[in-house]
Amino acid sequence: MTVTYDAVNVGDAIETRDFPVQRINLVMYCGASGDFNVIHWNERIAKMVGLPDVIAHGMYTMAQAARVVTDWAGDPGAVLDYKVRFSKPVVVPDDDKGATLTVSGEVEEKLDDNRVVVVLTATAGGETVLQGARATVRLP
Amino acid sequence: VSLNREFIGRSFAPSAPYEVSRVKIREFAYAIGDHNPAGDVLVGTPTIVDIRDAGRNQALTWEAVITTTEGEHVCTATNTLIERGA
Repeated sequence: MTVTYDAVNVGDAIETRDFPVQRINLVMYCGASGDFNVIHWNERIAKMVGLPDVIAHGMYTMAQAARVVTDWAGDPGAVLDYKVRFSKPVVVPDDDKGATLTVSGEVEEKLDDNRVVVVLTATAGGETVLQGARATVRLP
Repeated sequence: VSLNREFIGRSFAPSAPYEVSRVKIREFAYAIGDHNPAGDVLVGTPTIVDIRDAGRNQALTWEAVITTTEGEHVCTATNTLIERGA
């Protein structure tokens, strides 16, 4: 199923998805991104600098939230603009569950040239972790 | 520590061309659970575009213009960092 510009309306909801986040994902993201900041894998130092525990990379959370949009649009190349504010960290405990990132989206605006603005909501542990998250995509 | 406003507008030397290899894309895709291969050789040029007071904090905004080695614009990444006031 591919969404088309003509078929979407302002207010359309994008299905809410849960993304499990475990330490292994952060270790993989460290390697993939080259960001080996110890707060993303070392609980001892994370707590030493005042964090509750190891936290996910902001860009990891940003990428997960973007998947809701790219999967909806059916094409990762559809994204023209994407911005977020990291309002709270995603805390990832070292247990069998880790954290759960919940992302939902809604069509906020239809622009010219087949462009659509999607606003995203992302929460983890009861906190809003991304604020003002918006993606502009071009739909077929 | 006050951030030096004279740094606004300062650009830094472009990065050495970085190969966004297919393997790296695959690692990224696996890390976030996505599946979209690609491959580019890119150059990023960062510029500090703003430093301003934000309440008791200070905000520094920098922008990285990312191009191909031929200079074709691929994307612009903008990042605002908050320096927390004492």
